[in-house]
Amino acid sequence: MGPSDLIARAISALLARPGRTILSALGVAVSIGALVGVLGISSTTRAGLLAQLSSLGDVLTVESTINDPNVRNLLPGRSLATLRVIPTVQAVAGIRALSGSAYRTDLIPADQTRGLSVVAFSGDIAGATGTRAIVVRRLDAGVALPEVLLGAQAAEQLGVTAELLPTRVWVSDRWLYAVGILSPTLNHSGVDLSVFVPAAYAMKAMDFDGNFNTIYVRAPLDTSDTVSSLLPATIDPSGTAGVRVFRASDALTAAADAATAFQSLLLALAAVGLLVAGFGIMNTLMVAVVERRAEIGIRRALGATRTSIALLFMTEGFVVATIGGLSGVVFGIWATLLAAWQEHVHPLIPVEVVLAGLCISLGVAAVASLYPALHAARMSPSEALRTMA
Amino acid sequence: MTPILELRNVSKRFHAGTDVTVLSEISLTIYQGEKVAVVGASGSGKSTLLSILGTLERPSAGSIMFDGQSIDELSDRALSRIRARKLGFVFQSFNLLARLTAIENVCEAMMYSRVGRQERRDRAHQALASVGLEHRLDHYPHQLSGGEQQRVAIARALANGPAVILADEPTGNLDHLTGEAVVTAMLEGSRGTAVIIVTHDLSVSGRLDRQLHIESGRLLG
Repeated sequence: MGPSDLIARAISALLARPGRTILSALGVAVSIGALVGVLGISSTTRAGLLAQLSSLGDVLTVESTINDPNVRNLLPGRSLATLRVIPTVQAVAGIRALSGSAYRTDLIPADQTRGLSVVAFSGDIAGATGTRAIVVRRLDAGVALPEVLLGAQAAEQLGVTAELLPTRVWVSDRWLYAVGILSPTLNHSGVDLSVFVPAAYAMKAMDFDGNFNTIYVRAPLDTSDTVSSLLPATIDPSGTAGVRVFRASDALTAAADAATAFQSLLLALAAVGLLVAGFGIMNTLMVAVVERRAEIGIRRALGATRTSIALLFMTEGFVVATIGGLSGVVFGIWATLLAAWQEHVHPLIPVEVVLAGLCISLGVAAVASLYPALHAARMSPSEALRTMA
Repeated sequence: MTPILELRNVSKRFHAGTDVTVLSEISLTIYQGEKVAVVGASGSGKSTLLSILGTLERPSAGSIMFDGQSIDELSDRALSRIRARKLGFVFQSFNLLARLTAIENVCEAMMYSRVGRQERRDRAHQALASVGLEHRLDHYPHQLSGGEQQRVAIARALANGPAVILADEPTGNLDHLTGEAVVTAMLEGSRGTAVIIVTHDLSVSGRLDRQLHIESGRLLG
């Protein structure tokens, strides 16, 4: 009895009871689908994040640890020029929070700030925060109002869309012109909720002294660690400002790690599902063995060895698991593609996850069908035939 | 005449609370090509004797020679090989596999003797034609009459060219005429093959070379 004979007989036996076969396979399909889906989606999300990070570079945020409103010279404005000299630094910008907030018009009550803050900025704010100034429309020559940039969420809160640019916004009790909107930051930082006023104008008209409370530095992901270690001494050689540096990549990696904990929970649930599916296969095969005592007796009389009988039932278990495993893999891939499509990232389904899914389903089948197969093999041929007669 | 099956002092006991002796000290020789009837009352041990002759059951005592070789110490695998290549079975309730067509049922017997797929089909076709069922090759058991089903079973037993055919009440579920036809098909198809038929039917036993009478597990003569 060759493998093709075994498979043909297993398929024929399973087709004789399609409902039972489908239900057994479904148990495996759901668990393997969950397994492949969970791992596929997390790989896709992680790969998307890393791709974005490596294309945009890492954003280093420098802040002073001194929390004293009377201390004004926190991060000196002149340090921006020094920072630009550090090798591999791609963009630098500094900001300083200003008083007041931003509104769509001057008619909106002052307390409806919607969480927006007004900041003075100097340098390449879009480049340094890892965003892109998605729309920048310069004002016509002759318009004297200063130009401001809006963070992604600030633009949304103010109801300013790209089509409306340039448009007037009411910022800290004066009309300014919004000329650009920044794309959302990767780590949803405060940048998204800020309205950026050029430092030159802020110094002239908004009581800005030229020093910053936050400096953003963008560097490639592979050198951001080195750059980060150079920042405190470069910005504050005396060490009085108590400079602290945060890396956006750290926060993003931590977020991805936190997601892994959730992923472990889902994988544990999938494992429990597989266990249940295994019992389902075992139960189905046990019923089949009892129902097919006569067939076992006939086959033994025709010359089937105990091994052939065991293999017959094990093959049925393997066929059910393969149908379930393949369906599960297809389901998992489909879920991953759907998630990737929704999040606008490139889907990534590791081949080893697919192979592991199939191997696990076959492993479950091997364990689950062993007992029924041995039970069938140990049946006495004469007794099996007698039962039928 | 060359012996094909020899039993020496074969006994069979079952443990069902107390020891039950089903066969006691049976010695007999079946020769190649011989047609033998085993007759006796219900419960006399005929079917158990057939199971032992067919290697489906091992005796509790005694020894068996098959084709000049002792099979007492053979493994289950070796006994299975003997069943696949040298024995054919015909049962009272036909025992065809319901999911398979007539020709597939016959092919199934040759699968275990490692006959190639095409050859299986050719031989099955031939065997079914020899029992007059060429027009029923692709019919399922439920589409066949009792007589036809038993003829498929005979074709299945003959297809491998066995040395011995063992039939347990092959006409038991058939009317007299159909039973006669089935026995004829079996005897005609098995020239040169030993046939052992367990039967109650005197008209069947009367057509065979020899009758073995069993009573309470003992061979009378």
